[in-house]
Amino acid sequence: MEKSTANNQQGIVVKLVVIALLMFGFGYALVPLYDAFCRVTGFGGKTTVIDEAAASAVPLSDREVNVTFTSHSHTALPWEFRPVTPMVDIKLGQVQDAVFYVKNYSDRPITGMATFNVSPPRAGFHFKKTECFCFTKQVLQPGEEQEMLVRFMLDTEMPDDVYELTLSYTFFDNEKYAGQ
Amino acid sequence: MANVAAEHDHHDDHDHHMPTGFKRWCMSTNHKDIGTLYLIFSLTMLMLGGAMALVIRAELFQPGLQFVDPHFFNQMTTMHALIMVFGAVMPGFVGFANWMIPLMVGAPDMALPRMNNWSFWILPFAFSILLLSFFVPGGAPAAGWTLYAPLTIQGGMSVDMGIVAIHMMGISSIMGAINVIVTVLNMRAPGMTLMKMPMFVWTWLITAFLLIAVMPVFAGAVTMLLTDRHFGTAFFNPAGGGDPVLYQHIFWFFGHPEVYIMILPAFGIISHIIPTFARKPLFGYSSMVFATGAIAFLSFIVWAHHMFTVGMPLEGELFFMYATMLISVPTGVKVFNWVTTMWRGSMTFETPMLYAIGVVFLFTLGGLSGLMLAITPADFQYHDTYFVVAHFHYVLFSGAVMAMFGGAFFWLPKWTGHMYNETLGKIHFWLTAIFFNITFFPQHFLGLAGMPRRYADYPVQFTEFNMISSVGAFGLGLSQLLFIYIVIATVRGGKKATAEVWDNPEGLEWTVPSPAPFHTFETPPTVK
Repeated sequence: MEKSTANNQQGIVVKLVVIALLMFGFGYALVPLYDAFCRVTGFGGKTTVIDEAAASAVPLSDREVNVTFTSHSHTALPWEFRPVTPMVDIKLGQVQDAVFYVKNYSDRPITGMATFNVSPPRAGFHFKKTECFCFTKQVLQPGEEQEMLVRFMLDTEMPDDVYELTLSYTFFDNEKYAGQ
Repeated sequence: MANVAAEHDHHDDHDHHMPTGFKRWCMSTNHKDIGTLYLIFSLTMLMLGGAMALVIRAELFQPGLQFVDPHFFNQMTTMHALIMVFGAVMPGFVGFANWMIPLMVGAPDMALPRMNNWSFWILPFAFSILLLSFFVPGGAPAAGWTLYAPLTIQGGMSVDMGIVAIHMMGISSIMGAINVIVTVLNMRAPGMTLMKMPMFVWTWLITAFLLIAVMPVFAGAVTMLLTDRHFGTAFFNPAGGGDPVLYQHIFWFFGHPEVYIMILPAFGIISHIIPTFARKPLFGYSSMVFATGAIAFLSFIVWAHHMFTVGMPLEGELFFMYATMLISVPTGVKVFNWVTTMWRGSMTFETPMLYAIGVVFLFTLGGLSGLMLAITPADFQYHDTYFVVAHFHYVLFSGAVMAMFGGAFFWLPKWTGHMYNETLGKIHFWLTAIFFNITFFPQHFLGLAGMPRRYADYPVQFTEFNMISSVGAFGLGLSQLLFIYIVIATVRGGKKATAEVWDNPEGLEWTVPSPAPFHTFETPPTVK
């Protein structure tokens, strides 16, 4: 009797410790889960990526939507970063180019990485990019200036109450993550 | 005492070689001693965190900067919260659990006494590390107790010290929780089925499961912060592709169950005090158990109500709003049961009962302001204002802390063998309750008028309410010195307490003498 209680006790302890360890893992599992959740739902203004062929296959709609571009470079990054054309009106289904001007004002080469976001968030899922400077890291030499391209379209499923949306980019210094 | 010579041969006869000094307290495996250590630790932290609160209130007495600079002010708000949540409230309830759970279920000790010792003795080291961060360059963590990224990705080494301290507290809590679960599941006296367990044991069992489920998630979140800071990962740093909002999701996935970790044991204590002084059994015992379970379950699906303003789809806002409001149903069941227990009871109003009624009344007020905050469109106005500060002090101070005061007065005679001074106890209650309301009620108005939290300064139109609040805070803080005096006086002497202490109370803890002997229930009692 004594022994079986002791074993039982050990069993419960082991189970509880395993639960605790699994929950520690669950904390980490939330990272990919959240990312997948955002991709599937467009939550948090995540946009989607499609290839060129699929983009041009989408039929053109008559509905026009106003797209505003905004840009920031992080305080720690001595870059100028601005949209060349701050605003366009485009039809749903139309493939559009947007150009951003970037200049490195420092005296050293810097690797930057841009993050992006669409507002209102529910429009993000219908904002599809075929090409973007934000897909890869960008290196600018001292004093170098560049024009960077985003090619995108809005799909015809765009919610009816969205008349205007904003695409926002922020450039961060990526040096810390250069090895990755 | 029959055979003195024989006692030396029987090492398992513990009563006669109770260890003393260092051996007794630092190497203790006795649930009562460890419980006492937890309670002393909790009271110490309450005073320390309270002192920090007084620094905050002194600075906010007038607009402008009088005593401290804004950075130190931020350290005060952050450390006040960390110390109160992890140092005062959680260890306080673990202290009650250590003392009372074995006595209530008729067990001789906790199931894992050595681990119990370890769970406690980690804490002083954890808090030493946390407090030492005041002395490193840049001072203590100042990003708020939620430690939101990306602010905490910056910041000096104090953030790392805070993270290590949190890891240690987490380990301590998880071990404490495992101990409670094993004790409750394995060591109940014969005949005590789960549905015959005292409410305090039930609430702690559920709390322990919450702890095991969410403390590791928090540990994971701060570990991610640590690796983001030093090891080149980018979980939360947008520069490397991370998402700061993700931190808030993970934090509040822990943080919301955490608030129930801090209140469920308080509900348990109240459910013992009210029946004793109403002289009626607890109304609706099984509905109390299921309500506790329901609250625990719902606590996992409401976390995003802390972050409505980060921007989420309408569906998400509606879901979290309704789920949050749903929690008021099981909570309402509990309040209803407490009130119904009092209904037509032969009530007397000794200090524990005053505290219990105070908690029922004031916690319900805090619940009501919580419902207001749950309404998404309204929350956009209230978010991060003093309305939130008032709300969580109503549930945490007049809920959790006042329940602990009530529980302390309720069981102090059992712990010490002496009755406390009833007059002083009542004075302590009234001082605490009145000054508490003077401190925090005006903060509702400040919040509704738009005063944001976590600032060292404010516009002049908020002056009057802030002055009232600061006066109340100093009264509230000083009143607690009376509590310390009462406790010390009771430990040292006073009227002898009987085994039952109160008028026919229910529960196994009242069948052992007062003070409860070092070893109790070595032969398990039988529960009918």
